Amino acid sequence: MLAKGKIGTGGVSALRHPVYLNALAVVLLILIIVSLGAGAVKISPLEVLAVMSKAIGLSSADPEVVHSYVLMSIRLPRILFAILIGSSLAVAGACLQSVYRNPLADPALIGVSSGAAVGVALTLVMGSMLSGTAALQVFLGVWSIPIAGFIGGLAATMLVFRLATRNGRTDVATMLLAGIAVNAFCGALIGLMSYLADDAQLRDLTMWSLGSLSGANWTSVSTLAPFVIVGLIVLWRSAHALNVLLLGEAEAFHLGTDVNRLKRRIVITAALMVGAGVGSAGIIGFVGLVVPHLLRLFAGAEHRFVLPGSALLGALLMVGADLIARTLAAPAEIPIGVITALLGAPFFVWLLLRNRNKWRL
Amino acid sequence: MTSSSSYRPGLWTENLQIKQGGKVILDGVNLRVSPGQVTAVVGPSGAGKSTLLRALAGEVRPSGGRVGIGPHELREIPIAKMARVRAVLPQDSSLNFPFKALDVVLMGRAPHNSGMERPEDIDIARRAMAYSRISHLEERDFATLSGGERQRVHFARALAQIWPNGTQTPMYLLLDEPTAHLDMAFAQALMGGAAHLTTNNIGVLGVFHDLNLAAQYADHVVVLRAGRLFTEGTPAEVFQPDKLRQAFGWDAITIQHPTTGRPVVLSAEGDKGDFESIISA
Amino acid sequence: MRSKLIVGLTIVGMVLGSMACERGGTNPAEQDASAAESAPAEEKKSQRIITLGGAITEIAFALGAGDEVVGVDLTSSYPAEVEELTRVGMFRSIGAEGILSLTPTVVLGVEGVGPDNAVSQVRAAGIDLQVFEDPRDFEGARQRIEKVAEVLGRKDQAESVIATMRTDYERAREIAASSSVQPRVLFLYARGANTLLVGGKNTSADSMIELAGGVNAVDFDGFKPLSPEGLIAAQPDVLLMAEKGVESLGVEELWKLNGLEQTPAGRERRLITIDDAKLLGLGPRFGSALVEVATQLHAADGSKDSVGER
Repeated sequence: MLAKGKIGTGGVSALRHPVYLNALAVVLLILIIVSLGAGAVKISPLEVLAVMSKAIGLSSADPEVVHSYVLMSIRLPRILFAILIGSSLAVAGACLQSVYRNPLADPALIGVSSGAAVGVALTLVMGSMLSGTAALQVFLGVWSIPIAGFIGGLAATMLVFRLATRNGRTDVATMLLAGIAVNAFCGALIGLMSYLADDAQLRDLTMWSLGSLSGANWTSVSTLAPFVIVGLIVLWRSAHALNVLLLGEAEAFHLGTDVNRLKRRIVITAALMVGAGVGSAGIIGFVGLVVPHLLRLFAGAEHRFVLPGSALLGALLMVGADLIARTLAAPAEIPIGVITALLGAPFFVWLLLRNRNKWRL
Repeated sequence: MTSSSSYRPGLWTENLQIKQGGKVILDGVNLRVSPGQVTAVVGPSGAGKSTLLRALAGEVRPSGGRVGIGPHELREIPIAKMARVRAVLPQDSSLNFPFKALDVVLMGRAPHNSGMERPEDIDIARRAMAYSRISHLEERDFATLSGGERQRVHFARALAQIWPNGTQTPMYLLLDEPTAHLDMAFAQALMGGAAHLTTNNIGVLGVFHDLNLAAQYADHVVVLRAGRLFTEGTPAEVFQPDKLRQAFGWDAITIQHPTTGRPVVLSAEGDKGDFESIISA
Repeated sequence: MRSKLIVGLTIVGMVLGSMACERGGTNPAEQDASAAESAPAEEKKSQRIITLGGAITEIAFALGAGDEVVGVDLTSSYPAEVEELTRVGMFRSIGAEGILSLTPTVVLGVEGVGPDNAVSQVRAAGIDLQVFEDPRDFEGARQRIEKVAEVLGRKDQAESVIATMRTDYERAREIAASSSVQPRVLFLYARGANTLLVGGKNTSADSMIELAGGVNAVDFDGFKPLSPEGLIAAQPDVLLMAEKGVESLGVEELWKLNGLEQTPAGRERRLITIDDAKLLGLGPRFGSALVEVATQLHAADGSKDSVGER
């Protein structure tokens, strides 16, 4: 990172980044605190403070038991879940947009989301039909859905990648087309399974496909966290290579980048993070599309800003959307996929209108 | 190991054959870019000049023959290592991205610093921009630059990539039609700058459409025709009317430049074909 | 870079720290356990009940506990009083916090209350959440009412509710038995022309059909999409539909369905319509619904275009 101080007069762009990132981080922290204090159950800010300070052992106060439970076991894991999902979707989207050199690239394009959906649908529907799978499900327990999502997402992504790769060279245009084909195929498989499903399974599948964070608890958070954290680290380390990739694949090659290896690494890592996330929370759209665009609008395509910025802004967006989902129709909850779509779609249109003549990747 | 001669520094091809989609683009090409020299590759359209450059850059694998640097074949050299001794200025970089020009030039230092720019990288980038006479563009957004300005930024980037590091390691600069978007003054500035690099043990290869530019700056000229080496030699040897007619199908005369002494190539009379008969037929 | 590191470390710290906390037993359910032992059934005193699922809501009200119901789900439509009550969402996708915010003493739900995570969270918070299996016949319906009554401490009221239900039920069975024919009945679930499902075996519609003295015109399990060929092969004598289903489609559109005119039901336009919750819930109005169905099913002179009476 072009950290301030080290470079000195290294260009305005270098100095601007830490300011924006720090600002985003601060806003995120504030939003987390606000989100902790808000929800269907009314908990006063003082109580929130009491519960949190007790949790980290700072005080021996005795806050109300149910409030303590709501804060520590319902809201806190949910907020962390939102952070994990939001950051992984946004960063994956940013990287895929650079690899595809297409501003419309979204994790859904490489087949991850629909592949994950197939994995989850198979587990939900066939799990009871095939005794083997059921035993596996019992064995893996709570891990079975995220892992099914990850495996399905990875399988679909690898299929798309293989279809588009010849002689070690991966053609991006073919990858887009292969993605469309694989998505269609997965859609058909899901349709088939919807047909075979009984009503309970069908409803489970439908609810899941709307995207919801209501499955958040400490177990699901700690199940998802390793996938996301590893993914974010790997992608962060590719930031500079992605900068260079923007010059063009040939130019990146001239500058010493193993382009095919880079593309493979990005696509698989994105599949890893997003597949596990989709498996846990269902399909949540627009975050991967809108967040990186917004950041590039303000500070250009420098990935060492866009990637951490996407993580922060994506997390921010999800925590905010979750806040709305939990409080707007309280005590009922709106599926979060609906909120992100409602927020994301008009925003996307605004972005399009603003940038019709501006730079493109 | 080189077979035909003992090890000499250089970026070379030996009996190079390149096939694409079943079609033979280059066949039996022997070429050497020596450090300390400017080598020009000229030829009619479709002769395979750009393909030759790409083969030398390591972008395209030979289907026959070999290509290498010094004692090693290119395919044995890791991509990252190659990037430290070989820079390419592409013909067309139509990509558009919101980076500052200085940041683009800084990317040229990527092979040397694995992502974390050090103060010396910034210094080199700045000097490369000064060398290319574009210091005033440092803070400009690349996407807003003209075609010519962008070309010069890329040139500075390539320079930064192989900036002389005092060790006299042979390095190579490959230029693909480098002056296409440049006006006269800038074209001269760029070629002058490129030519001067040879004093730092750098070998320059340029693909040219403009024969006079080649004549002005090259120490060694290679003429390609239909994928094969037609002739090679000094500009004076190569730019002769009969050879030009054979290679290009072009009626040319050569005169000597009054100050530089180098050949200047001019069209003899212009095409006086049977235009009228076609119109009035 | 620094800021990302800070946030990252904070997250990791929170995750690890709070995981440690969870093990420290902030679980209210565990804390309540010891308290509960010393306090026997005090259910009769001012409960706060949440009911999830139309049938359970009906049962609670039928047992006289309507005043104590503080929240219902979106599928609860009867009796009319529920319109005034707070809605907590669909029973298949409740929010734990939403439930807790109403400070209930007990939560009752039909089969399928979810998601599992929310259910565990509600229970872990110390709330008694009970889910009752969907019944398939009178015995099942009766048992469900009794179980709910036990939880709510209203066993006496249960007796009278069940008695009424039994009377109606037996009347319906008489009607069914007195007829010499077993008409073929097809249950159609409709939500507009794009959603048309046929009720097969092991559905509550199937139970109603069989108990009313009809035979299900189709063989398969569960709900499946309607196909014109399947419709013709089924050859139903009568169509059975819920009121909302007919409304969403329109009666005229219904009779125009592809293949229907090749069946007796379509030719003679025999349709039985019953209120949704009443027909499928197998709640307290189970017996009365069955009477309606049986009556119309075995009406002496198979009248055309019959519309269900309320």
